[in-house]
Amino acid sequence: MTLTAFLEQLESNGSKVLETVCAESRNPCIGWLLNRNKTYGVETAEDIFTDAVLILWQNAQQGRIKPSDTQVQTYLMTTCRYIQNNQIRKTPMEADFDKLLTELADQNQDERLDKEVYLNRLEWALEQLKGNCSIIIKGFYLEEKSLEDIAKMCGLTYESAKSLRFRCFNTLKNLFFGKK
Amino acid sequence: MEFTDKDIVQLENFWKGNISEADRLALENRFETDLEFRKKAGELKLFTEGLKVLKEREMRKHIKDINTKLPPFDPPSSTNWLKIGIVALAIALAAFAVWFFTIREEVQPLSPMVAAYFEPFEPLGFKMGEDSNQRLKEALSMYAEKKYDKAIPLLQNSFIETKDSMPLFYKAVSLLAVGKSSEGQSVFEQMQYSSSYPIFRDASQWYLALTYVDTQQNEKAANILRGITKGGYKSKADDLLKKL
Repeated sequence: MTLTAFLEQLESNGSKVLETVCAESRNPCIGWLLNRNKTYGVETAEDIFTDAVLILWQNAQQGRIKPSDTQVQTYLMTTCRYIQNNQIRKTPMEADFDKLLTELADQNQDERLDKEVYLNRLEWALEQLKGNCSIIIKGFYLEEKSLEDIAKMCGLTYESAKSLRFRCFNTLKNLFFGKK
Repeated sequence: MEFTDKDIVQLENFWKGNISEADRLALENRFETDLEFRKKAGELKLFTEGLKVLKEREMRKHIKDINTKLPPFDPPSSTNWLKIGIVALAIALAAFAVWFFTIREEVQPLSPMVAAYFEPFEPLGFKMGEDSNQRLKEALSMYAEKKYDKAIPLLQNSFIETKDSMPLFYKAVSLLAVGKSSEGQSVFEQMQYSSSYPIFRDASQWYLALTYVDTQQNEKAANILRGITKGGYKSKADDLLKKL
């Protein structure tokens, strides 16, 4: 599958195209990784492949991949090689988040927050949101959809969605920080 | 202190780099001077980045689930080598069967009657010494040692090289010797008339008759044998004719 076909199908049926990509590229990539590094087990190679698919998906979502005749498998192998060469064992968002935790602790001369405790609480707070609040926050912050699209999904006007976004965001923060 | 909606939008745009130069400078100045604002902004950024990490983890889990549903990766192992070995053996057996039931049929031993009369023609060329080229010498050397399988391609190459009918004649005799009577037959059919060496023309008639006998074309064989009325093959020809 070429990157052009991947981007087109991602637009129309994101989940299905990821299944196709994994089915086509998993074994060649894992075999290639194992061949390249004899110390790897299958599990490590599978983890690297998963991260490579995740990076492919993120870059496509953020418009960093341009349509071309390059095969998705080639893109994934290049990404696997990058991960392998740089010994990267964290995905981009996790790496940024770790960096931010350290920066804030240094800046405020506080103890560094525990990442897992923080994220578990955030996940819990997110699960408490219901109805349109859940759709708007997840759509805007997690799926990075535009407020116009979210408004259409919820059957709201743009202004209502905008107003609700701030209200729901504050609700989420209050849940997280334990405020009423 | 609590952020207003406007503060949140401005900070989000700042982090995305989607802000005017004047607003950026104003915000950076506020970070320097208002430590409470800077701390709260940091917390807000951590919060929104945390949401993205959650999304990333969810997506990672989704990709892992897709991979889990796929057949497990089967690394090359001794089991695979065993499979490859079995397949290779099966192919070898199949090739042997093809050879045994098809190609081999053409290399039947000469019929007892032909075998009783067949004698390889003396390798005259081998005695030609410096007059023959190296390839022909080597070919006739193989022929003299009755290594016909090796001699046949060498004689063929020598014929292509020299366009001389001598190596062709020895090739035909070699073919007959290894039981490829039909192949030898077509060469002798030509040579009985066209060879530039009379000795090979006469011998070609005799060997041609043998190939006919070997391929059960006795009538054709008899016609040829009746035509051998002189020379070294006459007595043999008469004898064979009586047995047909």
